[in-house]
This record gives sequence, C-alpha cells and structure tokens, in this order.
Amino acid sequence: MGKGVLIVDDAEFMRMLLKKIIMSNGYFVAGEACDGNDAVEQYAQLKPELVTMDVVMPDKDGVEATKNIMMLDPGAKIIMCTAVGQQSIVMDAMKAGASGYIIKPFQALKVLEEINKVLN
Amino acid sequence: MTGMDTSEYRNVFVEESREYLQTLNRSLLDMEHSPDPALLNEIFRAAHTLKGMSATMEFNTMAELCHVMEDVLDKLRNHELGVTSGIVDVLLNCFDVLEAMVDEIDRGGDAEIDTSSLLERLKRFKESKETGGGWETVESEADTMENIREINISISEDCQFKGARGFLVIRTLSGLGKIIRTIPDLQEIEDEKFGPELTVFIESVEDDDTLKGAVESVGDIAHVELTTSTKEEESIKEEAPGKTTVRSASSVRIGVERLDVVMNLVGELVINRSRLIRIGDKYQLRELTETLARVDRIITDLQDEITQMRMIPVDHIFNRFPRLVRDLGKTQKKEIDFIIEGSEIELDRTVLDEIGDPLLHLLRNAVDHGIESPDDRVSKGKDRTGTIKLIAERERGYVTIKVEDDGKGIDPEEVRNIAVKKGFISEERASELSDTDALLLIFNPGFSTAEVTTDVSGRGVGMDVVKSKVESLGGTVEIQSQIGTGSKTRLRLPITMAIIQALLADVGDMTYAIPLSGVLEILKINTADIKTLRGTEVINLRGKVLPLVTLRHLFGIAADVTTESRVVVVVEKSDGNIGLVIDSILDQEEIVIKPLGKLLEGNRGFSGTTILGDGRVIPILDTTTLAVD
Repeated sequence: MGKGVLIVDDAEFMRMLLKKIIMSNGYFVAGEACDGNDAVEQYAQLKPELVTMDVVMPDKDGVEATKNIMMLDPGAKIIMCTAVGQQSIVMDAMKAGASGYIIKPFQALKVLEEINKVLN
Repeated sequence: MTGMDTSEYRNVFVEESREYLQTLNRSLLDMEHSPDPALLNEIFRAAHTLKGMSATMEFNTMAELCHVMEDVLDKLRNHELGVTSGIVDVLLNCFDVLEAMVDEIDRGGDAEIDTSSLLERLKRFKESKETGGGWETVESEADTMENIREINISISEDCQFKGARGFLVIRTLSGLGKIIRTIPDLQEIEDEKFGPELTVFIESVEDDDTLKGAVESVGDIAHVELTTSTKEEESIKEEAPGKTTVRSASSVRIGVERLDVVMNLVGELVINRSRLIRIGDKYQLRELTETLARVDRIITDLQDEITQMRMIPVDHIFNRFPRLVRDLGKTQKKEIDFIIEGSEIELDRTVLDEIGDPLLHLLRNAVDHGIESPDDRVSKGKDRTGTIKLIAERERGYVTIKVEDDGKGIDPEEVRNIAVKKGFISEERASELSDTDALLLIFNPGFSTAEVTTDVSGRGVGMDVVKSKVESLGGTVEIQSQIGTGSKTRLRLPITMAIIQALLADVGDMTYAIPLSGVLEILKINTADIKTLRGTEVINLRGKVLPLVTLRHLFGIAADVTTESRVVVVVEKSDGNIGLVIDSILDQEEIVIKPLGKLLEGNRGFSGTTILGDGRVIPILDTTTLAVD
C-alpha cells in the first residue's frame, strides 16, 4: 500500500470525479486541496506518492504550486489536469517538473493509464 | 565517408551551424560582462550541438574542436574555472576557426584546418585546475560514439499536446545519458512542430531495455524502436531520405536567388499590368477594366507579400559588430560599452547587404577617434567606460540607423581648417559656414587622410564612401557632433528598393524616371526666370538661390526654342537642393528597378533602368550623383 494520491482542484465536482476514478482502481486518496497554497502545505505533511494538479486555480495556480512542490521534493510525481487548448501552460508545467498530464473531460481509462505510467 | 552523398545536407548544415555560431559569439561577448550561468549554458549547448552535427557530417576536426571546447565550458559551468578575459579570448578564437571551417564547408571543402595550437591552449585551461584524471583523448570520444543509440518514437495520433509528450520523453532520456541530437530539435518539439514521430540520438551506457522502458513510461507513446548506431551507421541512417521521420514542416528555407527571381516576376507583372490598363483605356473595354481592377489588388498584395519575404532583421549584420567593437577597444586599451537597440527591425535584403561596410566604417571611427582612453575620460570628468550605441528605428517608409558615441566629438573649426588647406573651400566661405554645415565638409572625397585622422577626431575615414553608398541606396546621412560630449551619425534608408514610386520626365524625345523619394517640389518657370550666378544657372526660389541642372545640356540635346516654359523638379541632396530642368512631367508611376548591368555599372547619374507599361526601357536618374557643373 502506497502513500496515496493528493487531489488538487478548486472545483469539488472535479475532485469527486477524480476520487472515484482513482479509488475504483486500488489507489487511495491521501488528501484533497482546493488551491495551490493548500496543495503545497498538504504535500509537505502527507508526502503523497502522486499529485493530480489542476492548472487554473485561485491564488496560486497549478504551475506555481508544481514549482514549489518540486522544490520541497525533487522526486515528486505530479500529473497536471488540463483542458484542450492549454498547450503553453502544459509545457510550462512540464518544465516546472510535472511528470505527465491528463485532459478534461476525464476518461477513466486514460487517467489510470497516465497514473500507472508515472508511478512505474 | 561511407560513400553516402551528404552534399544535399551541406546547405542545411552550413545554415544551422552559422546560427549556432552566432549564438556562440553573442553569448561569449555577453558573458565577458556578466558571467551569467544561463549564458554559459547557452554557449555549452551551442558547442555541444555543433559537435553532434559536425560529427554526423564527419567533419572530424570540427567535431574535435567543439569537443574540447565543451570540456572547457563544462569546467566553467561547474565553477572549476573562472570566467576570465583570457578564456573568452581563446573561446572567441575557437569561434573564428569554427566560422572559417563552416565557410570552407560552404565552399565544398572538408574544413581540415590546423587546430593544434588552439587545442593546446584549450587543453592548458582544461588542465589548469584539473585534479588528477587524464586528458580525455579524442580517441576515447570515438569509442563512446559507438554507444550512440538511435531511438525512433511514435506518439499516438490521438495525443493532445504532443509537444509536452516529446518534452517528457527527452527529459526522461536525458537522465540516462547524453542526448546528442533530436529530430526535430528541442525547440520544434516544444512548439509542437512535428508529426507523430521523433528521433533521439543518445549516448548512453544503459541497455536497450532500460532506454525503451524509460520512453514507454511517458504516456501516449505508440511505438518505440531502438537501433545501436556506430558512427558510420548513424550518418547513414540519419541521412538516408527514406529513413528520416516525416515532419510537418511549418517553414521552409528558400535560397535568396529564388526570392529574387520571384521578385523579378512580380516586377514583370507590375509592368504588364500598366500595359493592360492602357489597352483597356484605349479600346474602352469596360469588362477588361473591371477585371484589371481586381487583378490590380491581387498584384499589390502579392508585391507586399514578396517585399515582406525579402525583409531580414538588421540583426543579421548587427550581430558581428559587438565582436568588432570589443576587439578594437581591446587593442586600443579603451573601455567601451557597446549597446545595440532595435536589432529586430527589418530591412530589404538588398539594402541590408550594402550597409554592412558603411556601418563598420562608422563604428570603427567611433572606437578609433570618438572614444577617448579611460584616463583621458576620467580627467575630463567622464565615466571611464565610453558608450557606443547602434540603434535601428522604423519610421514610415524608412529605417534609420544611428551610430552614437559619447567620445570627444568633432571640432568644426578643425574641419574648416583642413577643408581650406585641402582647397575644398575658400577661407572666406569656410568662415561663413555654420558649425553644422562645416561638419558636412568631412563627406568630401579626399577629406580623409592619415593626417586628418590624427589631427581631427578623424571621422574623415571613408566618410565619402559611407555617404555615396547610402545615397546610392536612396538614403541620406546626417552627422551631429558636440565637442567633448560625442557624435551621432544617422543613416536614413528606404525599407525596400525593388519597386519605387517615380516621376516620368520628358527631356527631348526621351523619358527618364526620377525617384519620388528625393523630390521636394515641382515648379513651372519661364526661361526668363533663369539667372546665371558665377557661371551656374540658378533661379530664385522664395528668396533662396536654387542651382539648376538642365538635363538637355547634360545629355547633349539642343535647347528647346519652341517654348519659353520649363519644368523644374526640386530634388533633395545632402549638400543642398538642386533643380532639374526638364521639358514636362509625363506621369507618376510605380516602377520596377532593374540593375544597369556590368557594362554600364559605375556610370554616375543613373541608378538603373525600368520598363514602362508600353514596353519602353528608360533610365532612372540617380539624383544624388547629378551635380551642378
């Protein structure tokens, strides 16, 4: 049993959706954060093995939060949750250290495939 | 070689190498001022890429040099060596040699230039603070070359953000070895300018499965294929046309000659458009005239588009100047801050090609004679370090390029004295000249001599050459100077010179084109208005004397006695306006400039020819070289 996944998204609906996909496949959810600052704090406490990070969030966006987390833990594994058309943001996030990305609307299969790849 | 014909890759190699060399040059110069790690990384990358490219093309001497440079750069990067002017010198020398190599490759050679002394110097730096460990020989480099693997990766068709996936693949792989090169290159990958496939050449000690697994750990990877490539194989694989990955190219490289051909064809279209318009007018063909109006718009668009394509940022010639200023300053022990502004401003290629040398003259003058020695400057209460600025600016149909220095300036009194001594001007007239006008004297051919350059601030060096070159391009030169605070030279250049607006002037039974850019006004006068002043024909134009050039005289045509009325076209020249006396104005038209050709080249008074809508070939007057007799 790993240390679980930290889900970061400002929309509760999205968190629920991801939680369902993640839990239905044997992973467990370590925590949920609703903005970038919250995400960095929780990461430091929980040390999850994976983070799903929304890009557009109030206060601190996902790219900034990714940078912060990478600073805390260069080995952190972060998957960005993006939407079609956010090409340059995705690139920024990858450069900040993210390991992969999934695209909204989420397809359960794709999400799991990405999580598996990043974790193995 | 392996019998592969690499000639068709030479052009790409040469062009790309030059781009990397420019990066190298620019970053090296910047680094001397501020040893920023980002710059060092950029230099390192450039050297590294050049190594990979030249090794692939089997230009081994070049690859070897890059390799040793890379080692020294790596030491700088790891702070095992400090950035000193000495190291920058050697690296700049490397740049010189690399540039010479690329030039030779461009000419079809194989760039076997002797680099032994340069390598020695590099090695000394490399070993200077080396703690144990031997000098990694080039042989060992050849050995490691055999560990190069070519990885062909296909990304699934339905992948969103291919660029991000490509980036992840490369980042993952770079943790397992040294990436030699990627096809397409990293920037293109980031910009998502590639098809579903990319190729990575990696130098790695890891086994194939590890590499493959690493690539597959990235999402949306459809297929991975690995091949171990020895040096020979690598070049074959990379260059065999069938093997190269299909890239969706969003840009293509076109030779400038081809652009010239297209420009010429557009020129022909413009000419024939005028001809068609005339036919339409003559036979009153309404349908033809209407269609022509549409064709007209299309041709105008086409012309604009081609003109745009011929535009190149001035950076193309500006980028070699920082090095020039640095080297000149260094040999003369002057401290100079060289600032370039507006290097992104674009100019027509033909114009740009021509102004490199004039600018070089101006900058050389600024360093040689403008900027004082650091001690002099301090004693005058100035900053030790002098500043030279090279600024490009866009203004309507023109681009201005300014060279400014904060040196000692030009003394107009000295200029007057020399001009009198050289007999350009009488003492009396010299004293009448305003300081601004006195400065113009330095544009006189022959003003510059060794004596002048030592006596006066020395701007005499080739200023007449600068002026005539700029004027032949349809531009103007201005100079401003303040003793003790510096000089400014301003070149005003037309953005393009392939198609221009011109007046068609009738003289006798010939028609001449006068470029509209130099025309100030057109006057109708009577022969009675013409006076003779000191043997020159003049008229009184609003209280000022305007010297005239009667084109009938100039071309040896008998004066027109049938009428008293004359037309005068007032044109602007840097040494005062003149009036061109013609018979009548026929029209104003857009004309396409055709060069005079070898036979007539150097003929003063004409800058080219053009073809009119009715098929007549007429000369274009070069108003800047027409002189009052």
